[in-house]
Amino acid sequence: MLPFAAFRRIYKISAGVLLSYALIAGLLMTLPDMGGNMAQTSRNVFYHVPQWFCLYLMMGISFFYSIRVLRFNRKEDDLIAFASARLGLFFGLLGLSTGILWSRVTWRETIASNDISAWWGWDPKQTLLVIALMIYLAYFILRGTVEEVSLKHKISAVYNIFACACLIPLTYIMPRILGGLHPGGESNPLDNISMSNDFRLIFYPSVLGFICLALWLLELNIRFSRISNK
Amino acid sequence: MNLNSFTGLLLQADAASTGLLFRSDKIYTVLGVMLIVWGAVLFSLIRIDLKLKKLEEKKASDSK
Amino acid sequence: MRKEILALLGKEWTTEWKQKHSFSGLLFYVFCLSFVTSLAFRQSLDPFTWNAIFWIIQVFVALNAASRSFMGESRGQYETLYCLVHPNSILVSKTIYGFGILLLSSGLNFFLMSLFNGSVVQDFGLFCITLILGSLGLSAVLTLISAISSRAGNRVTLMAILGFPVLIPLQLTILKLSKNAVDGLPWDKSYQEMLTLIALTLITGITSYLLFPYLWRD
Repeated sequence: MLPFAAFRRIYKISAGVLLSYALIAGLLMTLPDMGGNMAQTSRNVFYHVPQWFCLYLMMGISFFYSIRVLRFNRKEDDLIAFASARLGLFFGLLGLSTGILWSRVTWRETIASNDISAWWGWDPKQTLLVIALMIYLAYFILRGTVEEVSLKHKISAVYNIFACACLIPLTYIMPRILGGLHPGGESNPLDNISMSNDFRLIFYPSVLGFICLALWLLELNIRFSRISNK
Repeated sequence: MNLNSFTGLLLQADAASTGLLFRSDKIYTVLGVMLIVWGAVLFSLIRIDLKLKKLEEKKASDSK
Repeated sequence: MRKEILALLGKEWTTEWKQKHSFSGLLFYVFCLSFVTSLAFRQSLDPFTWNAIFWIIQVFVALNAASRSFMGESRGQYETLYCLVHPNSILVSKTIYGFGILLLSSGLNFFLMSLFNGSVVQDFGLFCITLILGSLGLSAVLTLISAISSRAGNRVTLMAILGFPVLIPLQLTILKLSKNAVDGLPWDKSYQEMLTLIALTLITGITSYLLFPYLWRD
């Protein structure tokens, strides 16, 4: 079981409370005057960025439990590694779709509505996330291919560690090198605008709330797998 | 898995209504929609949690 | 361990000479691919496209070569090797051997693509460095993938499925570096790409080195 199972009630209630707060306050707060398109769309920061935090958290949990599988060879650890990888994929897809919606309005507004390529900009972070998600999809295909159970655990743990070792340079280091439109790269003019205190007041609870939600979903997944496997 | 796909659909509806936000001035409408969706998500999560708890207790008492 | 690696390399070489058809099959594959694509693009191959096609062919050749590395051996050979040598010697020897094969086939690929489409590369030295670094990176990544898929049922399609996503970041960097060579840009513009390539190869190499013994044990 997850080591923070003792705090179950705390994180479930905080997930509910914090995310409700983030939802309401995020949509209703008065925005500082930033001009142009950034005005209303910047609200998406409260929802899009925490999904990435959840992605990293889930992949980190998966990585940790894969190492445990290789060392102790317990079926329980493999269950957690698989469930968290699946949830990581889920949050990655969510982050990607909210990113696409956001980028349609901010970066690609000038493209006509009937051109479907308006929805996909070749932003480096976006492209690299898709590559990372593809690597994890291959993980699931690998798990499906191997039938023998003990071999499945070991091989998928090895591939999971390999995939996670690829994930960190891919999604964190390479976007910084390649620039692109995401804030934090080299060529972005918006880099000098840091978050005002009003934003931070809603952003940090939103991050915490999403992390608690992710842990809750993970716990439900693990309990469900455990019951259906016995 | 049912759990994931259902929650996923609801959270996606959440995200999609965020898209509505950028094209309308009707913030209160969007907020209302998102609150309904979020309420449904919370409700289903709590329900699944309680159901799992019941199943686990049943399994534990069966195996004894 | 160095002696083991050298001995294993010698064994790979002699097996290759005994079954000449496998390496010559690979060279034939290179020839067919470059010939067919040159036919399809006849007269209208600009440098950008030449570069892209060259490296796409190279990736397919690399997958083909890697599929022979681990999956070409039988179960009995595995068990004998397992008793005799340290597992990482096998990994290193296969990576070095793969590197050699890829370097040779990329040389042939370059020769054929230049023959059929005209010599497009302006900075030949930088292009050679790209070939060397690229072959090393491809070999490092694909050897582990080949080992994983050989343990998971020895299927070639599985290796392609596992291999393609993991190769994409490597491919992106190689393509960028190669484009610099084709355009004839000065070397200091390419240092970042070279460093990225070396870093990616090192990361995958070290991860494979650490993970391979677990895969090898039964």
